[in-house]
Amino acid sequence: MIDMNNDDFTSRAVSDTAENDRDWSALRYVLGEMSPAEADAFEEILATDQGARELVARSTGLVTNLWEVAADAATAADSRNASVAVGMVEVAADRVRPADSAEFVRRRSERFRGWAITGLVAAICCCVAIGICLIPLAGPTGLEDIYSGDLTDNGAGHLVAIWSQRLADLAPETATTESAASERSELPLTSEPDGSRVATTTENAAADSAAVEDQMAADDADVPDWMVAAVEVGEGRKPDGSSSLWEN
Amino acid sequence: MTTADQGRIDPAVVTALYECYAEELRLFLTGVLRNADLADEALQNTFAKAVESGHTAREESVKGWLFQVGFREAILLRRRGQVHDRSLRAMARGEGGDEFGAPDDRLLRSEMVEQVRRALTELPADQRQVVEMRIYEDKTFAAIAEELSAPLGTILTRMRLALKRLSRRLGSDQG
Repeated sequence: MIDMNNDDFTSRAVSDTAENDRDWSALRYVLGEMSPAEADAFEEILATDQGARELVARSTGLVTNLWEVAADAATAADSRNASVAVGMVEVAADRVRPADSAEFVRRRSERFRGWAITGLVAAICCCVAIGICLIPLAGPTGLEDIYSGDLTDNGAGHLVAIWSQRLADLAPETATTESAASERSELPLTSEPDGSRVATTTENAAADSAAVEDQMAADDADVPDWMVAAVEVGEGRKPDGSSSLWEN
Repeated sequence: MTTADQGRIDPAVVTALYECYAEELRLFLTGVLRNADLADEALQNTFAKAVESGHTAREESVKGWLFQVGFREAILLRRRGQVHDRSLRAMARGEGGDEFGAPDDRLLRSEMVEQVRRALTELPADQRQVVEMRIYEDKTFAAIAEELSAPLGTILTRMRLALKRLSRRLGSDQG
């Protein structure tokens, strides 16, 4: 049984309440919860009351400890994040770091060789593709002639035609002479009033005929032997383009 | 306590006073100034005064004398406009100096933090909630009351009860 009279109980209750109020005032002062007037009044108490000063010190210690718990938790979280960040940096560094200089050179050579082969193949493919695309645009060519039915043509005759054209280009004067002779042969016989003109025309015609024969003889002499041989071979070719010479 | 010929306190006595009261006095000055750097400055000024004129204090009330001188120094510093109103939170983050710089101090600090953390977890949920909202979330009691839809008096009571439990628990742990 607790021996306690009413006066003691009342005084202790009042004392506890007063102490609680002082604790509370000290805490509010430390936390800045007081109005300026309240703070000034409390500081007047602090100027003279050592108990109030010690309460302020105790409240400050309590609040500081509570904040340190939060600061410690924040620091732990930061260090965890920092550890994760360091780990990520190390992994990234391992990914970009060459393992060894000799190994690095060897890998680089292999890589370069692979790229060179790949590039070469790609260039060849591009050239082939471009060539295939350009063939239809190029028009008829000698190569096309060969592959597109010229085999059915008389190749030797074509060759003679080309040769004749070349000769015509190289001998314009000869062509002019022939043209003049042609013009003279086409002149009307009645254009001259006298008969001397007719006689002269007859003589000129005979002379022209002799000249043409001489020219043809000269042309025959200008045809090279290999062309003659080619013509003979062409005549021996079958209608389907195949040559009997290859079927011995 | 004084050297009779010079009227000054023996430096050894001042050192003993420092070891005995400096930490509590620093907390008091920090509560007044809310700035750890200024609290340290006020603390140094206080003990400088103690060396110069501590002999005027009675031996039985030397602690009160130190706290009174310290309070005056704090008020002087604050009136000089040197208070930047940095909160105690900044000091808790270690911005206020190297009082926790030594390894032993860091160990003590970590032990204290662990004690406070345990004491917090042992609080009733409603009291712990008020403490966390006021201390960690920096909300005013009025804002807490509004957020929890509770009377302001109820919030204040929870806070007071929580602090009383914490003080008792931490006192018993330290004792």
